[in-house]
Amino acid sequence: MPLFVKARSFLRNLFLSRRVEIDLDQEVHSHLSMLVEENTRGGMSPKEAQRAAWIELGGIEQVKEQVREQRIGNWLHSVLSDCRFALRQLRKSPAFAVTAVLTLALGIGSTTAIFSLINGALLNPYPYKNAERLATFVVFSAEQFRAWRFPATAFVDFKQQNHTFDDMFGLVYRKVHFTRSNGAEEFTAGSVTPDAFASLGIQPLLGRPLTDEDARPGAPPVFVISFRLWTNLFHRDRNILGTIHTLNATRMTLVGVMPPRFQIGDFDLWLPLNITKNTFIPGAGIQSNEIWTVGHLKSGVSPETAAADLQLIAAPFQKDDPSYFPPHFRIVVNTLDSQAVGRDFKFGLFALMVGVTILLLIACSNVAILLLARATTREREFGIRSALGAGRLRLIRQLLIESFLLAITSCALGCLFAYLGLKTMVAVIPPDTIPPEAAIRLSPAVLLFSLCATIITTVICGLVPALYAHHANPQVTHTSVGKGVSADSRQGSLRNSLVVAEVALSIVLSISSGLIMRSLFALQNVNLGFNPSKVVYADISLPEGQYDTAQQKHFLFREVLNRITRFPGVLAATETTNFPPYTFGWTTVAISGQTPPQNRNTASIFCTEGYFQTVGLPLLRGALFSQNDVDSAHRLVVVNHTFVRDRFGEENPIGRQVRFSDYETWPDWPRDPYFEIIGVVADAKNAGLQDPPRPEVYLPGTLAGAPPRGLMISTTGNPHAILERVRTEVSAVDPNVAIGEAGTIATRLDHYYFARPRFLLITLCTFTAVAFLLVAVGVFSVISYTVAAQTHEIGIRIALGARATQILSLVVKRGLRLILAGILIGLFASYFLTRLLSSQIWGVSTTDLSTFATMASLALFVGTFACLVPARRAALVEPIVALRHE
Amino acid sequence: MNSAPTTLLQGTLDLLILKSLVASEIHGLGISRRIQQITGGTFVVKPGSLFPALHRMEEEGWISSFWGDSENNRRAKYYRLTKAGRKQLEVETKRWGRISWAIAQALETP
Repeated sequence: MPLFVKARSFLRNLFLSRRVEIDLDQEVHSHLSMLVEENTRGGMSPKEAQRAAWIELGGIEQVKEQVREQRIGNWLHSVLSDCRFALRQLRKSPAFAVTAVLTLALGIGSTTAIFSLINGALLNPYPYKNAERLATFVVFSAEQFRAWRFPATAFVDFKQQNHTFDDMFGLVYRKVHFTRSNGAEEFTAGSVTPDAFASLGIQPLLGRPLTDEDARPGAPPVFVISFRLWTNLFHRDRNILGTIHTLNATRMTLVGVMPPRFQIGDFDLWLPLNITKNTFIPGAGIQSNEIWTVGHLKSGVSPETAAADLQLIAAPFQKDDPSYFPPHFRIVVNTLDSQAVGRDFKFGLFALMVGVTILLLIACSNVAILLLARATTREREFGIRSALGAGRLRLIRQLLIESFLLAITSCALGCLFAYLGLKTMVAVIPPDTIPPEAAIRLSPAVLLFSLCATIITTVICGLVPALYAHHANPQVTHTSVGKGVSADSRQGSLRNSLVVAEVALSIVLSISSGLIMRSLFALQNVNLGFNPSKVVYADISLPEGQYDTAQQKHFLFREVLNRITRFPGVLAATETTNFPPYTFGWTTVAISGQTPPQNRNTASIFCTEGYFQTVGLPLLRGALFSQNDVDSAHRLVVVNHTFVRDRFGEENPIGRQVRFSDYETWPDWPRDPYFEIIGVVADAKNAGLQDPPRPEVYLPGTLAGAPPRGLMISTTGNPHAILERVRTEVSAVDPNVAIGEAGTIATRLDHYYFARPRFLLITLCTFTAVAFLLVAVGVFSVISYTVAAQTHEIGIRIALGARATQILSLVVKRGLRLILAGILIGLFASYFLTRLLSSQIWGVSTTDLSTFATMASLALFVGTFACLVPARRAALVEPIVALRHE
Repeated sequence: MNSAPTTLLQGTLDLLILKSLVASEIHGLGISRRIQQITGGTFVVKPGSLFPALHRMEEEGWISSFWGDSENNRRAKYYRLTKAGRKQLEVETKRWGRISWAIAQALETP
């Protein structure tokens, strides 16, 4: 029963506080009038009676306050009223409140977004069972990376004889020619040992996974597709299970659809694969190797231990398969997690992480500056409050509530910023940089961390006035504040060093993004020898069985090329096994009369006579091959300048004989293995945009049927229109031939070379802009605080005859001192720190003078501008007003 | 009013207020005067102590209040003992008995 009464009182006090107050007021008043009456009856005069009654009562408001303090739920009431008071305080200085909230929200938002990206892409990218133990392995020869896929015999031995893996499954990359009623398309397929599905622990979205039964020889052919293919090709039709499709000219039944995050190998579809020592893998043996092996390391086994285990198993292979396991080879085991993001981009992400941490630091110190400045201006308020008897705890509570209000509002806004920022980043993150399995979501742990960081900053800085209030002598506080002399000295140095630190941090951040910007420009200005936006490329996917030999392929390509070169606006066209600026085929070239080299260090391209004109390669010496040379598969070779320099020095290479021992295992390779060098062309980029060209050889495409190939066309017209006509012509020649990846070389460069640095650049530039903005706010608030605190002094100076310009320069000088100190520290720090960025920077020195100078002057400009506003205000001070300021 | 008021021990005030309400329901001033009377003027309860105590006890559910007319036809807030209040009075009385006995014992010990 009493509990019920208590609860009722509590609720009444909380929600009907007006009625409770009126009731109390009436009660005290009636008490007072009864006292007066009593006194009058006792014979006092009315005036005396009134006086005595007041004395006994001791003040209506005091009594009421004492009652209020007794009430149930009084604490909540006073907290709520503190909140109201705090809101009123913040509303009274909206500029402060908005700046503080926005600053913190930006800090929280960007930190959370970047750390979530790193968490999703780098730390926990894979959805698979025990994903942290998933590993794969590669082979290095003594000097270089050699192989990451292995022949079936090796796979079987690895799988059966290892002691360090729980399970092991194999994947084989295949291009699949998918024939449909309305034409053909090319997809990538993974032939996979069906135990992969159980090992990865992912159930299909629809239907069933592949089983060992499916992989048995003679089993009815089946396949499962990725969520991506299901969406793009079948528009998420749930009735496609059990339908039959033509893949590589075989009719196969679709039995399952995998969920969105099942993307092992980034394939469009998966086919069952049974691997025995005799397994023949179609299309294998050409440039690439065979089986990609993935497995779970046994719990507690390190990659190094596993590598030693596999090394023992692989030792005997060296004799049978020297191309995979060269002399002195060594196996390296890597976890999938460690390889989720390419090394360069991983570094880029860490750069972003550092950048965003700098931003968070700037944001926090900015809020600290704001709160400290505010604390000083409020010293008087707190002096008065403590003089009126407010306890220290009560003052602290009031300040805590104010800080919490600030922090909580910023947190809410920060979460919104983080959500939007992450969404934008996921949308603009370059393709193929993070594993397709990765799901980038706001990470609660990260959010919690940055929220804690802000709350701690806000609360600590917010408490400063309470510290002063408690040791401030109310008398002193009361009279001295406002003259601003003492106020400045106490926290002035803390505030000033925060500004200096902010400027320095922003310099480091801006120089880093400046360097990345310079290096992106340098990349984009690399001269390829042709205009990449005017050269069209198209991968050609051929149906199996029809185009296996070099002659069959060449017949098709010659027909298509003849049709294409007749288009208006086409300058030249070629068949090629490779598109610039990276050549994928590497081979060993032996020159007769010289000792054969150990390394596959020469790039090789199979092409037709139009290649050189298409990519604008000038002939330096000798001759290029003619259409007749190509059509008749003459054993001729054109080499580049680097090849000649490396292999012949000053000798004349024309007429020299070379052989390509790596290719001699191909069935259609010429019996007489010697080729004649007929010409030397200039170097072209063949190891990416950044690295210098390596030795390169050009061979007629008719020499070998194995390498897959495509078309490249140089045009003066609209490249997209040309591409459309190419599609039409190709399907006119053979409707079963599909066009794979296609576009202009410019789009290819953008995708493979510019997208990542650009992503880094956009993100870092955003951070830099925000950082400068915050620095401006920081400088502005410190200087305007100083000006406000020194109005008195400035007034005296003006009264004594100081001119406006003198006052202006006085204030600006003070600000500039801080800014210059920050810039110097920042430049010094950048000089050492930008070295860490060297893997992200190309074509510009990490201590590039012009970048350093530009960013320093930018910071100087921003800082001076932020000083000028309060300085102008100081210069316009009316001496009379200033002197009356007291 | 002319005798020096003794500082009321916390808890004693509750006991005195509860005791003063046993006979009839009365308003705040009445309670104050009755306490003065029954303690022979030893205890003078000022409104600054009385009202907070009354409101606290009402929230505890020991007393309840209502608005009525005073002897001089003035609206006043009256208080009455509830069932819980009577029980509380017994508890407080017993406790006071124990305390005063204990104090007396202590003082009598040579």
